[in-house]
Amino acid sequence: MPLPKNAKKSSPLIGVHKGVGYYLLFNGILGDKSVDGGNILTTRILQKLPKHDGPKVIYGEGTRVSLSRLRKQSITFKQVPYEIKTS
Amino acid sequence: MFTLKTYQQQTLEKLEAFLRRAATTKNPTVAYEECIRETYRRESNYNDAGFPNVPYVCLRLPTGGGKTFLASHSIALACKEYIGKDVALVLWLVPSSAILEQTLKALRDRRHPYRVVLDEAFDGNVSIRTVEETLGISRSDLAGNLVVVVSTLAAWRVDRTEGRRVYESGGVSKDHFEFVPKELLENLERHDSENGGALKYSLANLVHLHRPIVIVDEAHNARTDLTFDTLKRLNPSCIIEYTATPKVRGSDRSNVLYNVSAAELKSEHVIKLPIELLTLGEWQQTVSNAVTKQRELEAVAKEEEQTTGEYIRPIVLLQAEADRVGQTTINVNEVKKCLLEQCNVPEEEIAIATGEERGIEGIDLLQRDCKIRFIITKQALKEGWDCPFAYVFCSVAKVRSSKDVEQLLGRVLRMPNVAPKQQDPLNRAYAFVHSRDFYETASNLTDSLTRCGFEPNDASRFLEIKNIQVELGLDLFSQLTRTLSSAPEPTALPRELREKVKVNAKDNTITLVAKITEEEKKQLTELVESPEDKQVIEQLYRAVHRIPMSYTSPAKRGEVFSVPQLLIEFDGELRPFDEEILIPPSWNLAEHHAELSETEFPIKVDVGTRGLIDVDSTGKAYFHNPNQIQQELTSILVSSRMHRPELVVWLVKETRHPSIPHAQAVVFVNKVLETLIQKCGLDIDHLVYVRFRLKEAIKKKVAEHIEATKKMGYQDLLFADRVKKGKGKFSVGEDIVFPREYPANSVWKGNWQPERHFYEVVADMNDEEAECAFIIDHHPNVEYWVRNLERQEHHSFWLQTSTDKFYPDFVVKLKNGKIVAVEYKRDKDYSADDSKEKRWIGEFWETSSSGLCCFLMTKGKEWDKVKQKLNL
Repeated sequence: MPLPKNAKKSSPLIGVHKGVGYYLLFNGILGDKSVDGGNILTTRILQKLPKHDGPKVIYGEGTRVSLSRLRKQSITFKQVPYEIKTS
Repeated sequence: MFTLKTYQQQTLEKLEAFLRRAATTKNPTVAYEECIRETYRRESNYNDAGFPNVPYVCLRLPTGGGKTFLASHSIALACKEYIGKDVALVLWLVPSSAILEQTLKALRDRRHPYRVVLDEAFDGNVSIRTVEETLGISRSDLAGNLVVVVSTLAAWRVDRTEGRRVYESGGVSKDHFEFVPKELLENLERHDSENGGALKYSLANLVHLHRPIVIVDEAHNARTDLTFDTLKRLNPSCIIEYTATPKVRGSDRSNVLYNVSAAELKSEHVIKLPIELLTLGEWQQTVSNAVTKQRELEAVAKEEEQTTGEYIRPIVLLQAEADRVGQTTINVNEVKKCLLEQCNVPEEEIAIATGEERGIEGIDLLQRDCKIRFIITKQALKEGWDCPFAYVFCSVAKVRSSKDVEQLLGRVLRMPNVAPKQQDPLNRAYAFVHSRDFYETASNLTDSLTRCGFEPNDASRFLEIKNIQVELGLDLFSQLTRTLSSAPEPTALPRELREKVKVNAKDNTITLVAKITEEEKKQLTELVESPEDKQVIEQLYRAVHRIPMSYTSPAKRGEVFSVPQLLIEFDGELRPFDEEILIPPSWNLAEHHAELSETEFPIKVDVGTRGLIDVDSTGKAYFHNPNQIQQELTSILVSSRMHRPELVVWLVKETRHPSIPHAQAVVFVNKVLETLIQKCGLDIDHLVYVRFRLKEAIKKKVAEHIEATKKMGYQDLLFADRVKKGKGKFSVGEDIVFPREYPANSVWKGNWQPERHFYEVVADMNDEEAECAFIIDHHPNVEYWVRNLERQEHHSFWLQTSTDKFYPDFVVKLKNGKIVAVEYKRDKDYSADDSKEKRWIGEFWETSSSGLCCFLMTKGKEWDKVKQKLNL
C-alpha cells in the first residue's frame, strides 16, 4: 500500500485507502511513557485510536485482543515485521 | 483483504490437529478416529481405501464455502505439520478441464487469494505447473520450490492416452534419479526385462520418488477403484479431499474429518438464505412473477446503493425446456417471447446461454453498464460460472433433471461481496417454479440443496414458502388431502387433533390443516384400520414434515435474548472478563526460561540418523527407513544453506504468535539455541537438520509459558481479589445478545419437538443433554432457552476459565426475567479439575449478578436440581 499523501505524523491513523483505515501502533501511543505502552494492541488502545468508520487494518508488534474479536469488528491485524511484505 | 471465516478457521484447525496426530502416532486410522471422537463425540471407522499409512481425509463444505481457498491453506499445513519440510510437491487434482483452467488461472495470479496464501506460506517460492510444464522441471526447481501440479485425474490414468506421457520414459530428465539411494528406486517402474529392465525416467516415477501431497477437488467423483489404483502409482504422502457431497457410506466412503453446515455459511454472509419458493400452475405466470420480483429487487437494490454505495443488479436465471422433435416445448424462444411480449422486458436485458448461443461469454455481468437482467438457459450453465448478482431462479421446464436444478439453484446462492445487505430482500434468494404439485417441488428443491452440500435438515429449513402462495388461492394444505378406504368418524379424533386434521366420512378423505407431531401421527394411525390407510397417513406426515412451517421461533419473532456477562474493573473501567486481561501488558516472553528438557526435545533419537548429514559430502549413507531418507535428502539440499542466523530467522517465523512481539521471540529463540549448544553440546548443523522438531518444541514451550501466565493471572484476579476485598471489582453487565443467526455445525435430530427453543433448530446434543433439554423445554417458568453453541464466541454465552472459554450447555430465560445457565456433566466427569473450574466460575458469575443470574452444573441426571433452579 502506498503511503497516502494526507498521512499525518504522530497519529496512529496513517491514512485511508479505498474506505479502509490504516493504523500503525507505536510506543507511547497513549502519551504515556511506559515501556510497553502502545505497540501491542489491547482493548484499551483500541478504544483510544482515532475514529474511522469502516474496516481497519492495524499494524503492530502484537495483539492481546483475540483475532476473532478483531475480525468481528472488521479489523485485520498485521503483525510487524512478520506480515509486512517488501515487493 | 481476504481473511478466513470462522468456519474456515475451524475446518483448518481440525485438519491441523489431525495431521499432527497422524505425524506423531504414524497411524492415520488412530489419528482420524480420535479426532472424530473429539469433534463429534462418536465412534467412527476409518476407511484406508488401500492406503494403510497415508492420511486420506475429506473436508466437506457446502457450495460457496470456499473450498479452493481452503485447499490452498491445507497445502501449507500438510507440508509443515505432516511432512515437516520447507517445500513439497503437490498434485492438485480437479474433475474437469474447465475447472483445471480456472484453478490454474487463479493460482497463477499473484494477487489472487488462493495464490497469496501459498506465497505467504512458502516465501514466494511457489511454482504452478501443468503436467506438460512439469515434464521439463529441473532438480533444483523441485528442491527449492513448492511445486503445484494442477491436472485432471485422467492425466495420470495409465490406460488413457493423456496418461501415457506421464508414464513414458525420457519424460523427465535423468538427473532426478541420480544420487538417490537404491532402496528408493526399488518401487519405481522399469522397462520390461527384454528391454533391459532399466529404470524409466518418467514423470510418474519422479512424482513417486517425491511422495506428493495430493489435493482432490470435487472428491465425490474420485472414489472408484480406478482412482485408488491411479493414486497408488503416485505414492502420495497424504491425500486431502474437498467436496460438498462426500460419499459417507459403503466401502468407497470418504473419511469426512469435518462437516461445515449451511447455517455456518449463512452466519458469515457467504450465501443468500433462505430461498423463497413459489410454485405456479401456469408457466407464463411463473415467468411474469419472476420479472416482477426482479423489478422489486432492483428498486430495493437502488435504495441499498444510496445508503451503502454497493451496486447490485439482480439477475434472473430462467430455465427453459429443451427442443424436442415433433413436440411443442416451452423452449428458449418461447420464454424469450414471453419476456418480450407479455412482460415488456427490453431485448437488451435478455441473454441466452445455451450450447448454441453463448450470450454471456466474455461479458462482465458485474459491470454497471451491463444491461443483462435475464439469462435464459436450457440445462446447466458452464461449470464454475458464478455471478453473485443472480438472485432469482425461475424454471418453466416440466421435466426437470435434478442435476440441472441443483446446479442452477447453486448459482443464485452466492452473496455479493460476502457481506450482509441492509435491505433484507437482498439477503435472500428466490425460486419460481412451474409446477402443480407444491410438495413435490419443495421436496425436489430440498433434495437439490442436499446435493449442494446442505444437510437434509438445513435444506428444508432454508426453503421458505412464500406468503403469496396462499394469497393466490393455492392453499398450501389443500394438496394435503388424501382418500382413505375408510375414514374414521370425526368424533373419534382427540380434541386437539380435530383442529389439525379434518376428516370427511362421506367421501372418505382426510386433510391436514396444520403440522401434526409424531405422537399425533401415531394416534391417527391407530384410528384407521387397513395397512394402506396407515401408509397414507404416514405419507401425509412425511409430506408435511419435509416442509418447514408453523414453528416461529422467538428469534424469528424478533425477541431479544440477552445475557449479562461477567465484568471486571480494569484500568478504572469495567470490561468483560476475558482472556486478554489474564496476561499483564508488561509480560515478556524473553524473560522466561528457554531450556528445553530431554522430554520436550529428545536429542538422542537423532544420533542414528546424523550420518545422513554426511551423505552430501562423503557419499556415504546410513539408512533408517527409505521414506525417511527420501524426505531428509530433500531437506538437506535446502538446509545446507542455513547457518545460525538463518535458523533463528526461520524458527522465529515458524513459531510466530500474534501476542508476542518479534523482538521478544528473537531473544527467546536465541536463548533456546544457546542452551542446546552450550549445555547439550549440539552443533548448528544438527539443529538445522532437526529444525522441524525443534520448531514444534519451541512452539509448545511458548504455549506453556502463556498458559502458565494466564493461570497466574486468573488466580491473581479472582482469588486474591476475593480474599482481599470480596468481589467488589466484579459485576455483570454489557449483555451479550443472541444474534439472529444460529450457526450450528450439526443439528439435533431427536424424537420430540422443542417448543421453546430460541431458534428453529437445536444444535446437536447427546441423549443425556437432550433429556436435560426436555426438562427445560417443558418447565412452566421457562420463557425460552437456547442450546448454547460451543466455540462460537460471537453467537453464544461464555465464561472465561484460566485456559479457555466455557460455554454452558443451556442458557434459559425465565418468565420473570432471570437467566439460568445449565451445564450437564456426567457423574464421572463432575469432579474433574476442568469441571471444578467451570463450576467455580459459573457460581462466581451467579454471585456477582446479585440474583439476576443462576448457574447449575448437574452431577449426572439431577433433574430435580434443574427444576429447582427453574422454580426460583
